[in-house]
Amino acid sequence: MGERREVWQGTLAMMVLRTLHVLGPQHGYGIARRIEQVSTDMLAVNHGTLYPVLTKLEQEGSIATEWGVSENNRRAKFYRLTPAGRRELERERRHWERTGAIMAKFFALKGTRS
Amino acid sequence: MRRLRRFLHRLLATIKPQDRDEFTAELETHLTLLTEENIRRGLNPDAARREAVVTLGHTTSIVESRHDERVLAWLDTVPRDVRLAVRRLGRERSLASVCILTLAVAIGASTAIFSAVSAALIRPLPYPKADDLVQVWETNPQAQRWGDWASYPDFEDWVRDQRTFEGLGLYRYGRVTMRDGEYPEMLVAVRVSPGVFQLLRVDPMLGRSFLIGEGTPGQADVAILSYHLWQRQFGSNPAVIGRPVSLDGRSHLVVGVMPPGFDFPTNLQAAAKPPDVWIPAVPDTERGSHNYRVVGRLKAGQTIAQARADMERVMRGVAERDPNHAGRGGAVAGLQQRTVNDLRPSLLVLMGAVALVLVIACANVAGLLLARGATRQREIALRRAVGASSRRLLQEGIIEGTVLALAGSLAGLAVAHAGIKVLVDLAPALPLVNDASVDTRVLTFALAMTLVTGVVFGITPAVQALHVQPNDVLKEGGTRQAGSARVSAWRTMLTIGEVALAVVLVIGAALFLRSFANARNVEAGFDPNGVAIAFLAAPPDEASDPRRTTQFFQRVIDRITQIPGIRAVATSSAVPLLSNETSPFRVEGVEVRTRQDLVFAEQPKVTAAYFRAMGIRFQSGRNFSEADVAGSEPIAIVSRGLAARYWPIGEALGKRVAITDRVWRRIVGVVEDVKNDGLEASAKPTIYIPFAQFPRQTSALVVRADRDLSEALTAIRGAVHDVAPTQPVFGAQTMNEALGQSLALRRFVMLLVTSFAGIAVVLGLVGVYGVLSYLTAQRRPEIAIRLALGAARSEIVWLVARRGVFLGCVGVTLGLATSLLLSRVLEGVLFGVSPVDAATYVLAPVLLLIVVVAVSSLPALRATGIPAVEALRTD
Repeated sequence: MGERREVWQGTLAMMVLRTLHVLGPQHGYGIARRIEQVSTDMLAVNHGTLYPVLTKLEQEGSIATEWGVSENNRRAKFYRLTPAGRRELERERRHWERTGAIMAKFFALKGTRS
Repeated sequence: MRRLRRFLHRLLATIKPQDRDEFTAELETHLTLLTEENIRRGLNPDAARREAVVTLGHTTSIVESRHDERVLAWLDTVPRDVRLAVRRLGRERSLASVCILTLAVAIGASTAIFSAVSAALIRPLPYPKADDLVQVWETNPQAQRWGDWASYPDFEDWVRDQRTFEGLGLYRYGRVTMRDGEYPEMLVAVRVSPGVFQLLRVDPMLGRSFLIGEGTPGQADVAILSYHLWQRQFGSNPAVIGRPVSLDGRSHLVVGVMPPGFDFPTNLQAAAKPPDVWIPAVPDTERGSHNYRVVGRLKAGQTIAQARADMERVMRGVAERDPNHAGRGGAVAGLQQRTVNDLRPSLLVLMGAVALVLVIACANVAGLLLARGATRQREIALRRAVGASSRRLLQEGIIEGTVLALAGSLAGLAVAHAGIKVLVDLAPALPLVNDASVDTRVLTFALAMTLVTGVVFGITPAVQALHVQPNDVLKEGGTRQAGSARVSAWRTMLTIGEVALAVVLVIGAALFLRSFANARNVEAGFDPNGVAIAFLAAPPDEASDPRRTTQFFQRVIDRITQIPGIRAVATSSAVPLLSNETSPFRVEGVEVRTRQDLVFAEQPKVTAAYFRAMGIRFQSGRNFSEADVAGSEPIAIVSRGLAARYWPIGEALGKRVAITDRVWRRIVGVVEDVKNDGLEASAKPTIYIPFAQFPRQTSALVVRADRDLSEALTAIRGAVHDVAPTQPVFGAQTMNEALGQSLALRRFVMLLVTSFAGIAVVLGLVGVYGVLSYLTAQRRPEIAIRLALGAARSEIVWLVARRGVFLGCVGVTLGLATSLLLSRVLEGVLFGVSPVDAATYVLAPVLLLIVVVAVSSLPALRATGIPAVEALRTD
């Protein structure tokens, strides 16, 4: 069970990085909402699970933080992608594409799915 | 790279204060945004808020899980674990205090001893590259004592012929009188060849060292001061160079001052005083006067063995030039080794004893922790059952063990400090502890050992619990079974080991006690009680003429006799234990063909009252009288041992002997043997000569008094000052002090080993008691049942004590065997008792066994006091 948590954390981390890459600097709420949107509500995450991931990414140097003001004039902590984070994102994208392609080939081999 | 960065950030986050407030604010913002969104979607404010909370999740748990990501979990819990450990240990006060006390005593004692010992044994001589420094001497198969010395012409030959030394230096202890104030003062002076300081590679702090040629007659007299003399006498005045100082009546120019701590030649003999001043040695041509010691520095790459071989070659050359040196060889040994030689065996024994105590202490603590571990199985199983990670449990165990070890070590440090002070008090005559401070190496070693013990045995319960199914332990009565058999096996083994080691120490202590008692009881041959000694030199004018020397000392004796309370006063050129005059002698009618036939005797020149003052008894014949003066018949008194060696009893009187002046002397009296070299050496053959027939410039005043001896010595100093104001009195002490000092080392070792044995026995008994209590507790239900079925109390006591007897017997046997194996170590350190002395080997273990059995019956007696019903309850 711990293992799956780590894999889940890993995918969540990648989603965060991608989100920040696309949207630019965002606060926690923004990131969570965006992830929900993109995954077309397949993931109705507990928004709270985001924060440990954000901490980890920040400590690894992939994202940086800064207090700012949100759309409706609320004081919020904004996260943004760092150059190192960009590189990490690229690495992860290539890894997932490769994995996906390999797995697709294998599943194609098995013949028609019933 | 990312991981390293993360680790460092996590480390920082653990140490820095938390930022929970900031994060809570961030969550609050998130909640607010969610709430606003919900309101936009149409919910009322309260519902919107509730929805928001559901979406976000429980705030507290978010904060917690973020915290776990943010910090290094294990490091973060350390302060809490430490607090927990301290609280837990506080609840188990008796266990904790026994452990800490045990560790404190063991660590404290071992650190104190090691610190004192390393000061003498391991700390190198204070010269650069001291390993290359050696002592060089001639060997003489005839006399051991003469093995150290060389003569000046020999030294010059060595310097010329040798090939393995970078340089050789020569030195000799002496005394000079310094005249600078009202009372003249006697200084310790060392005469050295000019190159000695360069050889040692120590430069004077001020001024210069001696030049070649200084010291030869015709040159100006020069001197180099020691640091403490410069401080004391010259007020640390830097302008001292070039100032004159009066030594032995001659003006010496001060040319240099040595740095503090320089005390060549470093002398660790009891009560030796460091040198005050260095003077150039005066070359002489007396090949037969072996008055000097020689030190050398090996050339790079040369070994001591090579140097020794080379010196043998050189000595053969000397023997060719001077037939008197036939048969002499050369010897070389490391200077460090020679300096501590006498002390080394005893100190090594002490270190061994201390190590044993440390081992016993750790075994005790291990046993206690093991026992406690068994009782905690249940708690640990419970925690595992509700999901505590093994990692956490292990970490708690490690921290507990560490806290215990640290507490013990801190206490041990305090004990060590106190211990060193005690050591200094115990052995004032042994300079080795004067500046001993707590040795960090030893402390580290002891700390490491206790840490390992604490940690290893502290996590045992956790480790054991990992292998055991929680179910087994949580069952009713489960605590008793879980691992307890293995634990008691371990503890039994540990206790047997402790008892064995305690036996070894007890036997050792007994042997040392007997040695000390033997040494003290040795018949000295004289009566030291009420006897005081002081040394005095006749002034140069008087010393130049033998008759005037005799008269001078007679004047002094007469003046001292006037002091009230003085029963006898005499002069002697040598005093047992304090000075000696050993030379060859000849017996009329006994041929001396070769150098090997030479015999040596102590040859003091004494006034007639000497025998009465020292309390030496006459066996036959008569004492010296007023008639035995310079011009009358040369006579002598010999010791009983010498007489017995050459003539049947009673026939020595009238025979003739000759000493260094080669004058035949008639024996007029025979006296009892005297232990001149100390209580533990055998009595040397002695030939006493009337002082008037062979006066010596420097002699001892031997005084027997009825009054307090320190008062008497003060009066004597005053009396001498009346007669000879220019002559200082030096080396003043009582004979009992001298005897005490000769026994100082033995007494020191004896006291320490006995203390260690005592500690070891106490620790061992604590261990035995602990194990048996534990076992008894295990068997409570069984005992209760037996009692209920009518067993007699004595039967129960025996049931439990039986185990103790078993422990004791096995331990004692093991200890005896170990002692026998180690007995070789004690050879040469004991006196008057063999290292495998039967009586000691039988008595000591038997005594220990009795004590062990007595202690083992205690838990048994307690056990029989339990009411049956109580014991039968499952927990």
